[in-house]
Amino acid sequence: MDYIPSELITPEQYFELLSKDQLTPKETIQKNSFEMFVRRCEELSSLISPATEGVYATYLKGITKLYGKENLSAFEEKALQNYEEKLKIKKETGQKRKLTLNQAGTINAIIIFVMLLNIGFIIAMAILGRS
Amino acid sequence: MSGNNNISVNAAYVASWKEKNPLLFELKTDGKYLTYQNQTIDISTIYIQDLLFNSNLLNSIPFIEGKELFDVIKLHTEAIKIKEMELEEKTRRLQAYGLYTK
Repeated sequence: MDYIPSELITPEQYFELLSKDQLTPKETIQKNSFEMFVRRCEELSSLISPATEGVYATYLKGITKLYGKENLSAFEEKALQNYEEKLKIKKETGQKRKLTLNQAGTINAIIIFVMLLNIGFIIAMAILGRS
Repeated sequence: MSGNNNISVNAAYVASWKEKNPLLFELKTDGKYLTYQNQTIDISTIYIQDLLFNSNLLNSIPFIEGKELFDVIKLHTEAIKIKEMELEEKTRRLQAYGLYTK
């Protein structure tokens, strides 16, 4: 009935595993288990508790430290690549949204201009009609 | 708050959420274990109300899906366990290097 898995590791232990060249099967399970934890944190990022955010923040600190590290192991390179891909996807989504807003703004301006032209036309016709 | 107390408080919170939100009908708890469909987690060592510090979750309780809430609680129990492991390791190191005295 007790669920909490024995494969749970701390962020520090995770980055220690990443620095190795080879992992035992147990270490692989632990590494995958932590990466699954991180993935679920990202999926549920708006709803997670402060404690969960704290662990995720420790993971993020570890990942950013890898940028300054020389002679990265294969696992460290892979982890950094995955992190950069996630950042890229976030940026692209943001940029697409900006383009859409600009386009929407242009369309709104055109619609308002045409409406003003119509109103001016109606007023002009009314004035001409009286005279 | 005593150990027994947090179990009854956990059960009370989940029961009140289930009253507000019919989508949580598959969540079952006695305060010690939380069950959703065929999954069970041990919540006897956590304080469910800690989850409510996230105002998004607090505001989502009336309409959140059972699976999503279960996943959030599961993540929280795992995070608490990880933090406990970090604290144990920190204490071990302090004791090993003689910087920590009882």
